[in-house]
Amino acid sequence: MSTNVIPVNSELHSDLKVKNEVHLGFVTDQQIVPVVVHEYALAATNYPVVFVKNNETGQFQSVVLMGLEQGENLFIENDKWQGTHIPGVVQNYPFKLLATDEEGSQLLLALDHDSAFVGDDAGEALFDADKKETPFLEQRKNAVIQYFESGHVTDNFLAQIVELDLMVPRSLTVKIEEKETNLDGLYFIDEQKLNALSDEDFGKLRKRGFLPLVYAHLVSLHQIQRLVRLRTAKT
Amino acid sequence: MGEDKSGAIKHVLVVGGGTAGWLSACHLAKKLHSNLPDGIKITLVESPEIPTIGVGEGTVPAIRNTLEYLGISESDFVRECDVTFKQSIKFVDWRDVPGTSADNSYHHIFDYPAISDIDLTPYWLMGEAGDVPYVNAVAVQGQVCDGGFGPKIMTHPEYLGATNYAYHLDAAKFARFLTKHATEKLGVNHILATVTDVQMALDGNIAAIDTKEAGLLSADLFVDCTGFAALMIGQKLGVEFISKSDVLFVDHALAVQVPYVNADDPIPCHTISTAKEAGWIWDIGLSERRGTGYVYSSRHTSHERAEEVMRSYLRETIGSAADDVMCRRIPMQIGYREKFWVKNCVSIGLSQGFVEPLEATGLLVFDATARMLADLFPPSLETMPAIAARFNDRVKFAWDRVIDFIKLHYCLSKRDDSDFWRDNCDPVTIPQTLLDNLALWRHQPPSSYDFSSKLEIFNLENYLYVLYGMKFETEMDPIAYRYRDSELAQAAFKTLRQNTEQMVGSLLPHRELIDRINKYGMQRI
Repeated sequence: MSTNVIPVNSELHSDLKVKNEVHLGFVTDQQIVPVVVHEYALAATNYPVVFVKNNETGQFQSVVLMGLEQGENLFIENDKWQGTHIPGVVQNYPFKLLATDEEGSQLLLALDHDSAFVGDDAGEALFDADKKETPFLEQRKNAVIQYFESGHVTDNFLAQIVELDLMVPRSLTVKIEEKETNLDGLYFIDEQKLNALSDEDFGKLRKRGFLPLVYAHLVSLHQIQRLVRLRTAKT
Repeated sequence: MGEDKSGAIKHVLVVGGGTAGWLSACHLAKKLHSNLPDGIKITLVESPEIPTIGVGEGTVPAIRNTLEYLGISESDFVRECDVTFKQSIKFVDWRDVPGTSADNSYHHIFDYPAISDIDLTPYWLMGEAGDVPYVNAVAVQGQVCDGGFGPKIMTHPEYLGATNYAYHLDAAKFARFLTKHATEKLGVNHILATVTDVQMALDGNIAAIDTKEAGLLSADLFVDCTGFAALMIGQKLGVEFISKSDVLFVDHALAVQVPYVNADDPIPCHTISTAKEAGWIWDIGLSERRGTGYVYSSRHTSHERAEEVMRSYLRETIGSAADDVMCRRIPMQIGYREKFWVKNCVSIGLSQGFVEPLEATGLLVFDATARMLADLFPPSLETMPAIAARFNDRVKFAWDRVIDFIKLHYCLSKRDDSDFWRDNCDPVTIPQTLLDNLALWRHQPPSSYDFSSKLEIFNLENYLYVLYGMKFETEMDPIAYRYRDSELAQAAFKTLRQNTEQMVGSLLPHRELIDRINKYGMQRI
């Protein structure tokens, strides 16, 4: 993604405006888009919610699967989102949080200045005449912070799943008009292992509020058929 | 002996707290379920006074199976033992007199030669891969090493990689790491006490050991991991040590720990072994420091001269700091015991045998024989003699093959610039088994039929990399008629070149990989 991400500053950006629209440009060719736990339920009614490893860190992250091969997003058509849920990371763009150090002890609200939605002409102002944050900026800022916090819960959830040995690698083979496509590098929660958990371990998931997430993921796997259908309709 | 009249073996005492002792304790405890009430009781007694040798820092890929089998997290292991990855041993100046040839080095990598539809070795020997080193014609890993890349990426789970790998580790930290795992996870009892006496029973078995701090400790089976001292198998039971110094000449090591000049200096992903006038120098990059040392033959050089050679080697990388580093001199006995298991005493580690650490055979043989002991573990006293005989037979076989393989590195050399090298190539110093093999391999490449036993520690692949890395000549003309698949071979060589480019492009520089693993850990799956 863009490298021109700069912290929002009332002095520097007093005249800056941001269009209040959803920006799809950067996901039109994304096969997977990250989601956080608070999105699982809604996302699951649209797409498969699955797990992948981050290339840089090897850590698990949850994503929605929106295509059957790299570079394919079956949910964007004519620059319109074809689903009832737009992932938070897309909604928040071009706002994001920047960590000032490795540990992330201090966070700054930042803006991707390469975005076509950022400029001096059209859109919502970030600061008013007194250089105070506008309600627009405040609302967007809160959304970004909420998303960030939900990211932490997501990490904890995934760590718990791994600790309980529920995560398994899965290679998916889908058949579209006699042609088989393989999807590698995906991880699912193993339903058999889940059912075989001891009461104590199962209780851990329940107490931490993780059970709905587990089932949202499992139910969402049936959306793979929707991907195949969308793909078949296109060809 | 234990009081049990049935002759069942219920308690094993491992004496010695170095890596051999802890590996033995771990293998026994794992296999014999010592963490359960009806498992065999394993106790390790370790002297708080006697320091371990703690020099062995190289391993071979088999250690990966062991760590995984023992239930150890690879991430914890990497973090706690200053671990780096090892994909090869690079032999420098072994082939020709230094300065007389352009590329006087070769890799002994861990990946097997690529097995496609065709065995590429004869085609390489017939020059069909062009003018490339053997290792680069048949595998990608030599170039992965030369590029300074690690064997895996962050999405690989623990114990899996893009290439086959082992580790470099801090031996002292590794012993402590195993201590924790053995006592906390595997149910091993740990006693800190110094042995003062070994007490015999009337039947010639060891009855107990007496200790300064913990008094008398009895058991049914004793494992001697007391290092070169060989307290039980040697000093008490009087089993002779068979010296192999007529085959392998080096008998001293000068070990030196060296700091990196800059904290972010690249770490080679292979051990570097550089041949010198009376031995060779190992150079191992750990995450926090380098471990280096000169192993040499005191019959071919003086200790003073050896230190000079060591310091001048270090001067090439750390400059004048090489004059101030501390050198620790360690005498070594090369060879093995006449027997390794006598009565109720089994020796594992330096007490059992030792050869120079040229191919990281130290930890390798400790591990293999500890595993063998656990797998063969006698159910009762009556079964012990038969099992002991088998163990002695197999372990002797393993040592003889190890010695052949180490000698191979020397006797193929064209170096004639010192007595050490001239003596090494003298056929009277070469075991007959090795001479026989070499005679055969002059006329046809080695095959898996030459390595018939499952218990051989070094196999066909190892020999191929060393033989042809050393430019051993196999005469192909008379048998060329056998190899008619040139087109297939050419295609395979080409695929391999493409795979090399692809793989090198996807891997991380070794230090960066280590840094990331230390920061994020690896996933178990």
